[in-house]
Amino acid sequence: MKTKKVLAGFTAAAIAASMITGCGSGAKTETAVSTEAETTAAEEKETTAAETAQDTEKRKERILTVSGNGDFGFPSVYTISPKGQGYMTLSYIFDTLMWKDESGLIPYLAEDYSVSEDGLTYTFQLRKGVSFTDGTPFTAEDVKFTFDYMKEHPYKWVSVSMVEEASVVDEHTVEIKLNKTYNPFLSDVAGSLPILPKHIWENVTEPETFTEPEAAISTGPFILENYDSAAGTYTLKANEDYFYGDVQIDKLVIANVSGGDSKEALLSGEIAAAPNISYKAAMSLKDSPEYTVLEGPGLSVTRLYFNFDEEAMAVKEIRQAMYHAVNLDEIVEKAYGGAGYPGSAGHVQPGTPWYNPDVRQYAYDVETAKKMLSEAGAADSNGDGILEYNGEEMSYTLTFTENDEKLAELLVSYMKAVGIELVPQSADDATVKAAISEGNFELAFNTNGSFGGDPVFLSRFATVGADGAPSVTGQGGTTWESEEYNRIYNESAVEQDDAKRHQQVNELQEIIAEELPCLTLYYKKAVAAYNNTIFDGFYYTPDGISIAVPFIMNKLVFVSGQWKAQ
Amino acid sequence: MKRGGKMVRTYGLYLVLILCISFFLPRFLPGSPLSVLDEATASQNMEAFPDTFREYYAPEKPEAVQFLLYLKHLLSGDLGYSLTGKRKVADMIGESLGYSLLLAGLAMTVSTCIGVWYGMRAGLKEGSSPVRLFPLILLQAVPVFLLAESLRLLFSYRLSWFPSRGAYSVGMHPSSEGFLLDVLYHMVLPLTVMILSEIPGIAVFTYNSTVRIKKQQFVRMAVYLNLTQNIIEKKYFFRNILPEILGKLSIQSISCVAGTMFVEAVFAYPGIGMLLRTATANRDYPLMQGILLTVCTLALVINAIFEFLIQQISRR
Repeated sequence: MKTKKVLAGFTAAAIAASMITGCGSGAKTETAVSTEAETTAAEEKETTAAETAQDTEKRKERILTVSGNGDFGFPSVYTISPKGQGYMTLSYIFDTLMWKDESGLIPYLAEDYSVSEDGLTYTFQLRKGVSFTDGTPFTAEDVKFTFDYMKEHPYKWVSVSMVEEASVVDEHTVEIKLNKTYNPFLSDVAGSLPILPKHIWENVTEPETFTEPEAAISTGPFILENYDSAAGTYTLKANEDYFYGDVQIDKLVIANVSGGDSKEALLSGEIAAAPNISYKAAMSLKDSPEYTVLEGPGLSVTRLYFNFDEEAMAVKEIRQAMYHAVNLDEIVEKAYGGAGYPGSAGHVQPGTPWYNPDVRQYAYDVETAKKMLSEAGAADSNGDGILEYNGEEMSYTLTFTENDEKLAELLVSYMKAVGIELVPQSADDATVKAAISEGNFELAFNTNGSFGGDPVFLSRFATVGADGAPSVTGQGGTTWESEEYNRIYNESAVEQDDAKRHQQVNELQEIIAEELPCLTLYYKKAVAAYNNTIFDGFYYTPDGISIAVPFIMNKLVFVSGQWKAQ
Repeated sequence: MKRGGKMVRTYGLYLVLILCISFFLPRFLPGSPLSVLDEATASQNMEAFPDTFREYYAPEKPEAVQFLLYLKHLLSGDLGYSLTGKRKVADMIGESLGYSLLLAGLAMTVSTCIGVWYGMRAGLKEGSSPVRLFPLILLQAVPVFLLAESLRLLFSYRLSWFPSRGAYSVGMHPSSEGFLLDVLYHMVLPLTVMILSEIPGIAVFTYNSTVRIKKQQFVRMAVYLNLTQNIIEKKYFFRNILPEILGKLSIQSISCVAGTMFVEAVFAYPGIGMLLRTATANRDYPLMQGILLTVCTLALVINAIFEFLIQQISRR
C-alpha cells in the first residue's frame, strides 16, 4: 500500500540517519587520539632501547580501572574542572615543585629549597635530567614562565597574586619573590601549581579553550591517551621515563561510575578501586579479605549560616542557645550513618594540627538552651509554642540542598523543642550556594570542601583584609563582624614564627566559639574501597592532595604501590 | 497554498518562542555559573571570567543586549563555548544527540510496530472488553526510571547478562574492532526499557481507535459482503485509524526523546539528556541554551514531518 510504503521508507531513513549521526560523531575523538599518538611516537623511539632491556618477559598489559564522576573537562590546566577530582586527575599529567605523600610535604620537581629571613624570597633548586613527555628538557625557564603566565591568565585552583617576580638564576635554579609574606606558599602554591612547558604555552593566548593534545603534555607519571567526554572516560598511559620512579601500571582508566554504582562495579570486577563509594556500601565490604576499605578526613565542613539581618540572629546569646539545642552526635548518627565527626564550636576540626582543644563547646542541653533564650528576651506570649523576640515570631525559613533532608528534619525538631520554628526550603546546590552568597536566606546550612591544611580558610570570618580591602566571606547580606578578629587574623596571615601563629589561631578559634558567626555542625568522613588483589598501596594524604583534596589516589601511589593481579 | 502559508507562519511563531525560551529559561534559575564553585575558588574567579566566554556570553551587558548577541551568533551557526566543558557547544551536542536519537528512534519504530499490531488484534476480537488491556495499563503505570532500575538490577547485576552502563565498553573508540557490536550489546537494556515504556500508550490508543471503527456502519457492511478478513483489516481499519495514530505518534515521539533522559541517567548513556542534566547543575548557560534550542527545533521538525504525512494520507 502506498501509505505503508511511505511509513516503511520513513522509518528506514530515520534508523539510518540516527545510526550515522551516532557513529559519525565519534570520529572527532578519533582524530584527537591519532594526533596524540604522533606526538608521543618520538618519545617512544627514545625509550624502546630501555624497554627491550627491561621487558624480556612479555607481561600482560596492566590496566587499572577506577571510578570517576563522569566528564569533568579536558585534562589540561585551564580546561579541567576546578574541583578536587579535576585537580587530582590533572596532577597525573602535570607535576609541581613540591608535593605531599603520607609523611607530608616533600620536594618534587624542586629537589631543594630555601627561604629568606624576611620570608619574601623562595629559592628552588630544580631536579636535573627531567624532561617533558615530548622530549624537551625541563628547566628553570619553564618554572619562571609558569608563574608569569599565571599572573596574566589567573588559574582557578591556585592564585599567584602574592608573587611579585619569578626569576631564573641558572638553568636549574629559580627565585620567587613575594610581595608579602604568605605562610601557605610552599604547601598551597609551590605544592599545587602545575608547571607549564614554556615551548608549548608561550603562544597560547586563550588557555580556556586550549584543548589540543599538546595542552596535556608535561612531566607527570601519565600521558593522556584518550579523553572521551561523552562517556566521561579518561584513558592515561604510563610515562615510562617518570623522574620520580617506575610507574607500576601500564594504563590508568578513569571510568564514569557513580558513587551509587561503584560497589557493584567493584564486585563485578569492572573497576579495581572506588574512591567515590558511599559510606554504607564501603562498610558492607569491610569484612571481605579481598577488599580494603580506607577511612580518612573528608576535609569538608557543614555549617549553619545566620543572616544577621534577622534581629534575633544578631544576638550572641540566642545563637549560643541554638547551639545548645543541637545534638551534634545524633546528627552524625542519624543524618550521616556515622560517616563523620561532630562539629567544634571553634570551626577548626579536632584532631588536625591547628585545632585548639580549649575552646568553649556547647553540650547538648535543651534546658540550658531554653533558659538562655528566655534570658535574652525571647518569650512565648500567645502560647502557640513559638517564641517571640521583640514582637516578632521566631519562625525562619531553613534553606538547604535537596539531598540533606535528614539533617534538615533533625534541625527542625531540635529548634521546635526550644520554641523556634524552622520552615524547610530545599533547592539544588547551586541555588542554595547562590542564595547564601547573596544573603538571600534567613537560616541556611551548606557544605563546603577545601577545608583543611593551612588555617588560611579562617579568612572567611574576617571582613577586612590587612590592606583595608573587604575580603570575600562567602556569605552575602549582613554578616558577623569583629574588629578584633580581623586584626588577629591579618596578623596571623603574615606571622612567620610557628609558635606565635599557633597562639593567634587559637585566639581566633576562641572568638569564633564565643561569637558563633556560624554553627559548625559536622565534618565529613571520606571513605574509599579497592580490590587489593589487583592493586594495593592506596592511602589518604594527610590534609589531602594539594589543597585538601580527600582522595586515596595520590599519584605517588602508582609509583609506590604494588600490582597484585596476574 | 494558503494552507502552506499558514503553516509557515505558525512554525515561524514557534521558532521565535523557542529562541526566547532557550535563552531566558536558564537565566530564571537562581544562581549563575560562578555560584557552583565553592567559595574558595569562586572568590578568585570573580576577576578571572575567561575572555573567550566574555565575548560570547557578555555577562556585564544587560540581558536584552545579551539576547541580541545570542541571535547574532546563531545566524552564523555559532552556539558558543560550554563554560564547563570548555569546548564548542555544537560539538558536545553533536556527540550526544546521535545516541539519544538512536535510542529514541529505534524505540519508537519497534514499539510502534508492536503497539499497533497488538492494539489492532485486541480491538478486532469479538466484543470490546477493556480487560484485555490490563497488562498494558499496568506496564504504563510503572514510571520509566523504575523500570530501568529494575531491569538493570536483574539483568546487569544479578545475572550479568548485559552491561550496566555506557554506550560502549570503556576504552573503545569508533575505530576499534567490534565497536558496532559493542554498541548494540550496550543498547539492548536501555532500548528494551524504552520500548516497554512506549508500547502501552500506542497499543491502547490503537485498540480504542480500532474498536470505534468496528462499530461503524460501513464495516458491518463489509462483513456482510463477506470480504476477506485481510482486506477488511487493511482497507477499512488500518487506513482509517492511520491518521489518528500518526497524530498520537507525533506527540509520543517528542515525549520519547525527553523520556530517554531517565533511561540515560540510569544507564549512564551518553545522550542529550545526561548532557542537559550536568549543564543545568553547573548553570552552564551556553550549553543549556544550545540543548534547549536543539531539542525544541527537533520537536518542531518531527511535528512538521508527521503533519505532512497525515496530510498526504488523509487525501483519499
